[in-house]
This record gives sequence, C-alpha cells and structure tokens, in this order.
Amino acid sequence: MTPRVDQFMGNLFFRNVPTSDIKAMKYHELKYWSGWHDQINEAERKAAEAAKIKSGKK
Amino acid sequence: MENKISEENATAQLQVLLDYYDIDFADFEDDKLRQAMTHASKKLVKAIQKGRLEIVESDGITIRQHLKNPSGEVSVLTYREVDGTSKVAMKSKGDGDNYGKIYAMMGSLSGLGDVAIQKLKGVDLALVENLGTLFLQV
Repeated sequence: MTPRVDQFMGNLFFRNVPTSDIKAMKYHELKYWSGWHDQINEAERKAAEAAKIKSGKK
Repeated sequence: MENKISEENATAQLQVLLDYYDIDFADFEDDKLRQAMTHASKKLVKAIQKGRLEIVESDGITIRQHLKNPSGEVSVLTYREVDGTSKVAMKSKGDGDNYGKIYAMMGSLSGLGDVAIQKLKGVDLALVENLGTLFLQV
C-alpha cells in the first residue's frame, strides 16, 4: 500500500518535528522528510543490530 | 457543453495528478473503494475535457475548478497542494463521515472553509466530491 500523508506526518512527529511545522508542510515536503526518516530509521536499526552482534561476541 | 480537450489528453492530465500523489488503483484491495475511485476519475476526466477542471503543475501541484454556477464573485476555486493542515482539518469528522471529511479537506485546500464548499450546487459540488474521493486516499 502506498504511504499516506498521515504516515508521513506520524514519521516526522516521531522525529520530534514540531506539530506546527508538520502541519505547514506541503505533500512533497512531507514525502521528502518522511523519506529521510525512513533512511535514519534503517541506519539506526542496522547500528543496533551491529551493536548487538558485537556485544554478543564479547 | 462542447468538450475543449480530448479524452486522451484529459486522462493524461489526471494521470499527472495521480502520479504526483502516488495514487495507484491497483494498490486498493477493497473492490468498493477501487470502484469508487474509478467512477470518480471518469467524472474528473469529463470535467477536465469540459474545461471545468485544470491541473497546474508548478511549484508543487494546484487544481483550479471553474464553477458552472458561480457564487457571488467567486467563479474559480483554487485548491493548493495537500498538506498537513488539510489533513488535520478532517480529524473532527467521524470515520464513516466521508462527505464531512471531503468538505473539510477541500474547504481547507481552497482556503474558503467547509461551509463554502457545502454551499456549492449541482455539478460544482459533485466535482468537489469526486476530487475529494481521490484526495482522501492521499
């Protein structure tokens, strides 16, 4: 299913972007910054996984 | 009313709007929703053909609706690109209140408010509702 504006807004809210800023963003801006959130999320997930493996080896 | 634009060109214009908002009917698992979207898009194509609807792609995307029955001095409604504010405007409406959601959203996008949208008549209101049916999926 294609991501919707609600999801974009939720992603930015999760990243502590002020609600007033989120509300003022146009569709293409919400989509862009939500994509940024997805990338950061993936990087954080990978970092957490790597840390877990590293601590497991000790 | 004579068609100003061919069906092919009107369909292409509507596709610009659908592509912009990543709307793909194949994504909809609900048959009723897909049917409603197909019906709405056919009506929108006809409106574009008749010159009642314009899709303008410049600094985002805006839509101009040329009213058949102008109210007062307003003969053209301009809907800005969907944004967070227009989504939040729908929040007070119940889950099943699709018309309420559409009026709230389109009222916000036009800058005129939902009451102004509800005052539209006949084909003008029908066109807003068809447009809103698509926008509810954004």
